[in-house]
Amino acid sequence: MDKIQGSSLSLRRLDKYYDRFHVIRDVSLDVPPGSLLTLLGPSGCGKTTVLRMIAGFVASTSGEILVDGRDIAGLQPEARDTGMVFQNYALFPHMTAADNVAFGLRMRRLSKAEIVERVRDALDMVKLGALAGRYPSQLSGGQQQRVALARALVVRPKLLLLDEPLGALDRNLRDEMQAELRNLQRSLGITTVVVTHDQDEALYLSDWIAVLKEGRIEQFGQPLDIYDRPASQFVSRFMGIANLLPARVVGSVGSRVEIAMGGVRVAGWHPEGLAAGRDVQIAVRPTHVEVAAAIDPRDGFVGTVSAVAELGEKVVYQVDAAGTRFEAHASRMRSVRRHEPGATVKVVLDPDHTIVLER
Amino acid sequence: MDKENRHHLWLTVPALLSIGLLFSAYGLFGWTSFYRATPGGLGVGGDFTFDNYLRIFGSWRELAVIGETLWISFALTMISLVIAVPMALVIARSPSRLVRSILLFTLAVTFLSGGVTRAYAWMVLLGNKGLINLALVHLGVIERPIRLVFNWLGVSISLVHFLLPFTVFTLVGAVKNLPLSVEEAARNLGATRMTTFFRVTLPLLSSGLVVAASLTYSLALSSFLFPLLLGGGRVRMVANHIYERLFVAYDIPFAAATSAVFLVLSFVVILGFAGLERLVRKVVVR
Repeated sequence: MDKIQGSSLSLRRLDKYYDRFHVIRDVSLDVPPGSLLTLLGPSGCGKTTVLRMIAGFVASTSGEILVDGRDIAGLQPEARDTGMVFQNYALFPHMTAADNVAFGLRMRRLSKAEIVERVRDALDMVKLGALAGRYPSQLSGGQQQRVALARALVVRPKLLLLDEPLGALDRNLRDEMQAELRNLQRSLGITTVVVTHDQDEALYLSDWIAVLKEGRIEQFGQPLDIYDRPASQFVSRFMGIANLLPARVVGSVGSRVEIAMGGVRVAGWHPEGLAAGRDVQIAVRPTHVEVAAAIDPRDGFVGTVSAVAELGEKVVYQVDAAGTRFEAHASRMRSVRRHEPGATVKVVLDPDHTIVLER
Repeated sequence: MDKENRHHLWLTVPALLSIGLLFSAYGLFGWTSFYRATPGGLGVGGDFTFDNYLRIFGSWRELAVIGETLWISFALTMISLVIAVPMALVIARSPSRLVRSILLFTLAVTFLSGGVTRAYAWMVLLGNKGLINLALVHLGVIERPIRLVFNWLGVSISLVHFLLPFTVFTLVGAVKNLPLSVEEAARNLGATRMTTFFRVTLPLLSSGLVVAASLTYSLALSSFLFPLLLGGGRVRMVANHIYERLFVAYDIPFAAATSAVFLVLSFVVILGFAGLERLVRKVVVR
């Protein structure tokens, strides 16, 4: 298939009420043409509702959905020109793979010859050319997904919408499809919206991520931004930051904040800096927590190793210090000194990855 | 077969006995169709004969009653289906609990009220001085009351009312098994509501439609009460015809022969439906 002229997508102040329940609250974002946006969040956060609003299956109470600057919020689903891959694929069980893919083209009243050609191209693109005559029930889960993808892409939609695209696949297949999906999306240049609850998938696939919580965008940014600089406790926890600990601001210079915790001062990061005396929370990924020897000269918290677990490529430490418990991950591959349970150690935090969050 | 299993076989005895009893009644009735009614009485006698069957197949009047019943039942089934499909879709899918409850309640009430009550209710509604005629005359739509009852129209109206709950409830299950996302996929690919209904919803419901149709059809075939009460003697379906042979003409063998012929024909039709269902399942739903 040829490269698609990507469309820009903007959501402007989207709101949705179900009776009195305010399920989508003031969702606004912009993504440039050809990029992949992931709506990320736990179940019930409204991510699927936003996707279905874009597709037209859920009417927004207010707000605009702009595709190339044109508001499509009032259009019927069939007039929106989006291609959706449903979570359960939603293939037509009474049609062959080829007829499934041809459906959208028939609705667009293309000539028979063109339909045949485009169906063949689309099935070849997802490497299913040989199975064109099979019915969905004769295809495996992964094959069904490829048909669903071909069916959505063959009409060259303005937007590709994927609802938990890899959720139903087993692990190996998921990794394979993830890479394939990313390559396909990049090479076609089609603007894509993905819904998922899996942060690894989001980090791998996305150009932009919107983390949703209770119908609101909690943070919108590029993947590494969200990974390295979570803006809230919720995002921190969701992105797998296990250490969320209370602290107090001592002072700050620019974005570098000095904080006190259990009588020890360490440095952290906040985008604007914070006034002294404020109670805050610090978020540190276990990989940025170092368990050093007690005599280490750097600033840190002296404590006791309470548990050690060796898991494949990493060693997981639990260390009690500063009146709380730190989780630290060290590489098992490097020959670093191993600390035994009960040993007195010093916990050293990486100041660039110690995120200071307002409470 | 081990001892345990043989022991279990005894448990089927009550079921076998009752089924046997029912079928021997049928069998006995069927057997009388090969004899003659004794003059003036309720008895059956004479030599073994195919006369009764020859009489049926030799008389246009007899065949007409059977043919008419088969045809009208088919028409009623189709009418019921056309009404039942949207009703089933709403009952299975409406987001409003109120709408679902009202529809279900209306259908359930139909089930609960007895046939005779309902037949008389229809007379009150459809009679020459009934509610509908009075309203139409009053509104100036018609000048004189039109005949709505004691003809095929009245019988058909009341029969559709009787059949509809069976059709709807059978279809609701089929609709519930149909994933909404498949229809959404069609809309997403550019199909209008209408196209989606005919290209996706109906084909996927077809197996359920055939099942609902065969149930409705077999119920329609055996109609007795509504044609009797609302037909005013002008409308006769097979069951009424048999009843008359039995209790008016006292011709038990002839009634039995008519029953037998009709039973066989009904079986053929129902088997046809079953075959159609298998075919549809094979072609449409894989």
